[in-house]
Amino acid sequence: MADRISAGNRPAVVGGVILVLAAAVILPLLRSEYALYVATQLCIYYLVALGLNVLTGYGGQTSIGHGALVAIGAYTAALLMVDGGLSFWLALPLALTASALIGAAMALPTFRLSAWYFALITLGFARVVANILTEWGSLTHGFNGVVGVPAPMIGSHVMGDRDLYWFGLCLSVAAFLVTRNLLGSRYGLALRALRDNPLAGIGSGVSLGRLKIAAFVYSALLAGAAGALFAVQKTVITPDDFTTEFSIFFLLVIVLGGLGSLHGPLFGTVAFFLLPELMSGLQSWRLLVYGVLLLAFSLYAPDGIAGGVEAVRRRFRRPPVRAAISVEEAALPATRITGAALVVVDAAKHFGGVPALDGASLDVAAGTIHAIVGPNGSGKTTLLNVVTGFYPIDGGTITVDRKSVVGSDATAIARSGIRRTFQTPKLIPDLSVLENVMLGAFASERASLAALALRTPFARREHAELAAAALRQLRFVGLEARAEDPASEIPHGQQRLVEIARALAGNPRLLLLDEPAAGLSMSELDGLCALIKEIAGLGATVVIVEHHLDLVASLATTVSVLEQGRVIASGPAESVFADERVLRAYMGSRPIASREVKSVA
Amino acid sequence: MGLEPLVTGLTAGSIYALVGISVNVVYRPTNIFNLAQGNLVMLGGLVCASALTALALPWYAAALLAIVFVGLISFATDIVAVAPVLARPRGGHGWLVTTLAVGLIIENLVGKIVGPDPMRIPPPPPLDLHPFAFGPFMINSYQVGLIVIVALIVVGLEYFYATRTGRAIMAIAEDRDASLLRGIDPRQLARLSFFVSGIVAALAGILAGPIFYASVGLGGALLIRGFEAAAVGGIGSDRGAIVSGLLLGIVEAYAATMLAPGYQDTATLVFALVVLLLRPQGLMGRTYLRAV
Amino acid sequence: MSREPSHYLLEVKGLSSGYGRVPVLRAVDMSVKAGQIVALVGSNGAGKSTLLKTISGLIPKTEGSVEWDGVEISHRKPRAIVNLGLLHVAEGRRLFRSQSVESNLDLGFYGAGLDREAEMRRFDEVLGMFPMLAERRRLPAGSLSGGQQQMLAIAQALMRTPRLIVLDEPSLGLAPIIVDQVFELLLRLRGEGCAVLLVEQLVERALEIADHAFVLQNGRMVGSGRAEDVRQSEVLAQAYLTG
Repeated sequence: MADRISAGNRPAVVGGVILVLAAAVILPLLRSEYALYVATQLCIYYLVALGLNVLTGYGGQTSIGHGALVAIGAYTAALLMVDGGLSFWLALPLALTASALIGAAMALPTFRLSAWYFALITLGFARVVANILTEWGSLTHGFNGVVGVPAPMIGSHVMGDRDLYWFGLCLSVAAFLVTRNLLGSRYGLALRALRDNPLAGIGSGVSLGRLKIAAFVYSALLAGAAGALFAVQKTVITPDDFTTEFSIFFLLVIVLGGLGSLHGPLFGTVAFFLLPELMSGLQSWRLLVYGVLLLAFSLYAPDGIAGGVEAVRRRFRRPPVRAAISVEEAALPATRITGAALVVVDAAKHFGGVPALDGASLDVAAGTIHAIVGPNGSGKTTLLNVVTGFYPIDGGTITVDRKSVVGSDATAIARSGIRRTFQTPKLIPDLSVLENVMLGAFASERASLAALALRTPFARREHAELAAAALRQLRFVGLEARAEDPASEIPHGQQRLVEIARALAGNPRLLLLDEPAAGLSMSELDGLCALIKEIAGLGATVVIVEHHLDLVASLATTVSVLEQGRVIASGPAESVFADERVLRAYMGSRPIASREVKSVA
Repeated sequence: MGLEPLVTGLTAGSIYALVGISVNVVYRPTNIFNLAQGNLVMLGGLVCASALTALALPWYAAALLAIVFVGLISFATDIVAVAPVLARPRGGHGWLVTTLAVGLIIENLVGKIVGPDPMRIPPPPPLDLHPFAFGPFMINSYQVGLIVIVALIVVGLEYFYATRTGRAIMAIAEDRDASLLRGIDPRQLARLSFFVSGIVAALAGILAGPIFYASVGLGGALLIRGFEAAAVGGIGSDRGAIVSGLLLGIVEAYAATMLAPGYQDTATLVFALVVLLLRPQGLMGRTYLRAV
Repeated sequence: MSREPSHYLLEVKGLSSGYGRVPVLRAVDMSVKAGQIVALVGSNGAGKSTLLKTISGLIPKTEGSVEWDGVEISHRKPRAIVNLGLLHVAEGRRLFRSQSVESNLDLGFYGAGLDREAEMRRFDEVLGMFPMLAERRRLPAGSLSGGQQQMLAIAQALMRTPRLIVLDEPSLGLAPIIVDQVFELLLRLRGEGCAVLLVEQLVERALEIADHAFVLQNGRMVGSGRAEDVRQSEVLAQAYLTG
């Protein structure tokens, strides 16, 4: 669910925040040691859940091994303090480093292996860590664990239970704010692309591999911090604290709370801690109940508690006021682009011995509209895919503005100003139309991770500028009115336009459109035609793969006709369509000497 | 150090191979991996052990009971936890969590009923555990029989996959749409596969009795071994599962002697990762071409 | 020539469908009488494959109906439609390439519920129609040439003795001589009482053997009639060369 705070809901959200903080603040005054203990544990679990939600909820990478990362944070901190005599404030950053490094190492297999292999590897990893904690006794003190972890000191003041709680609370609040900032930035968009539509991400210049590692390391950092806090709170940590079930608890927390929702971790953690209270007599059935809940929520309430809250909210709230974007900024005319020239020579591509491209060549002048047409199976989409780097080419050359792009992967090509759309629009359903377009600007943003995490004025300003630019693109394609709507709710023809707007958000020098006319109505086709002409008018080079010859005839400066992987005719539209070879390729007439070939009006 | 670990390793490895094979059976028509698989193995062992003691059934009757029971549980897992997820329009990996949850439920439910103490299962009569010398090795008839049984199961499965139904399952794995057009029902064959997978898993649990002792805690370890065996062998290849299962058993056994028993999981995971990172499709798997 | 039967075997009325949210077909009408060869023509992207897949149950319809022998079947699963005797030979010669020719043919019987004898009889019958397949029984289907694969795909569908066989672009990538053989086969099938619904790129050739034809353009049916008439018509030229 998109977590936009529209102006109309601000009072409700602020109210909620105040309530939560008030409860958090009042708690220590209750003088209940037990409540304090639980509340600190809650902070610990919350930290882990927050990170795991980023990785699994938003990024779609299921990890069943985060308990091990907590263990690493806990043991590193504890050992450094007990055996190494370091102060907590030195041990903490080292614990964070350790868990971040291990987290990065754990993420490496994702480059070569599929997502579910990865999930099982994290499970295996959790077992391995549990084993090592027990086995490597000389380092970890084995079964007995690490005893006597000292309380952290601030100056000469020893931190008591209440102080630890405040510390945990502050960490949690800080972590929440940083997470919220990052998820609200281009990284939040990219994560959801990773989860829902990786091709959309790649086509917008997102490096999915780096994103996965970054998400993993971030969640590992939070888990490590939670671990360090765990160690000083419990003062005794043993391998038994970090069983495989421990990792599953965190999955349960985020599933209960709502995968991919900002407040999910909070709801989930609170619910998880309330459960034992509700089950007072059934303590020994705890794990069984967790299993049932995990199953039930995954099947029947995939949006979790947060989803339920959202549904209730939607019934009672006033219609949202659109986030204020300066009208003057949105009215600025679109900037001129310098189009790129595309030259393909003898491109060859085989799939298991079947040649999809068999020496196809193209010569597209900068700033023109070039159409690629041809019968089914002629290799049109394959050609588009090799130019944009989605398939590696087997032979031939491809140059853009005389620089070769052969060997570059799709992300790099997208980042160099070559953008494309897909045969079926690949939008991110949970994001708004505007956010989908902003994904296209991923590679243009300058703000660093740190700036985004802290939401510096620079980052905020850049974000606002890019939002305004995205709104301009939407206005350009005529969909400004739909900016706030979830992409899942808009009809196909408009999704097509949003995809084009997203591609434009990347300021492409070369724009490739894959069958943009498919599924459009008559009026939508007219709109598309006008739009493409305007795009070319800005200076960009446009290459269209199309079936719709009417559209092609009215749009294209030049046309190439593909048949069985080769270009059989190329040139201005009228001459190409009158070419006998083209007629034959399309209508498949046998060359019969005795019959007149019908000339086309 | 000698060759003792080799024998131990091959014995345990045969079990791992069986678990890997049961993983493949489900994978073929569905492309998913049941995270409750380890617990199904465990369940097979425990039901058999309980039937032997509590119901005083003869060995083969107890084994049959366990096999059918676990087959049904596996079948139910598909209906409850897998089919609904696969039917969702947006796909995704929700089945990872739902099958994990099922595994958790099975483990804890069974734990409540049976308790934590491991239960002994004797080898299938007429096999036994009397050691005898075979060249430089000391082995028993159970160990020999185990490898033979595993080989027979693979042969049996290869026969199954040569029947029309079996070939239909392979057809689904190769081209789902084309199989739909030939009247093949992937859902039905998926359910059948879950049932068969449960049978093979139960067999693994029962045959593992003499070496592993049926106990609730077994599920987690066997899940990982089963995954490692299937993945390293090349998911979908039963012969690959045998080879990798045996290799894993050997790696594990030597790690136990050379390092310490607690490092077995580490050794096998490292071994599996090394193989997979060098050859993601596994030892005997095929690289599939992907279309965009 | 067989006597013209009076009722429709397959009738499509006002059918709309598409992929996910992509509308492709818009209110299409089409029909096939028993024992006819019907050609479905139109330029690429017109929706011909989508129409076939909707009829076969691979794609759900959004509107309209598909009737078989007067009974609505548009909600049925693909295997139910196969059981009715409507067999679809998909585009691109979709076979089970890793399995043998014989295995592929045998899978044609899946779910048919015939006894062993009936199966063996039919098997020999069909194999008799395709001697070059008989020679290559044991070979993996993937090792056959394009033309042989196309024949195998059709043979596989014939195992069920269909009343209507639907072919999606059988001539794609085939040499003209092989295309001749395929089209001869279709004429033979009609002679044996099996109706044929043919989607073809080779418009002229398709119209030569067809009794009736329908012209699809941008998801709409823009013309239909006797194959002869459609061949000469303006509608056809329009549909192909102006999109």
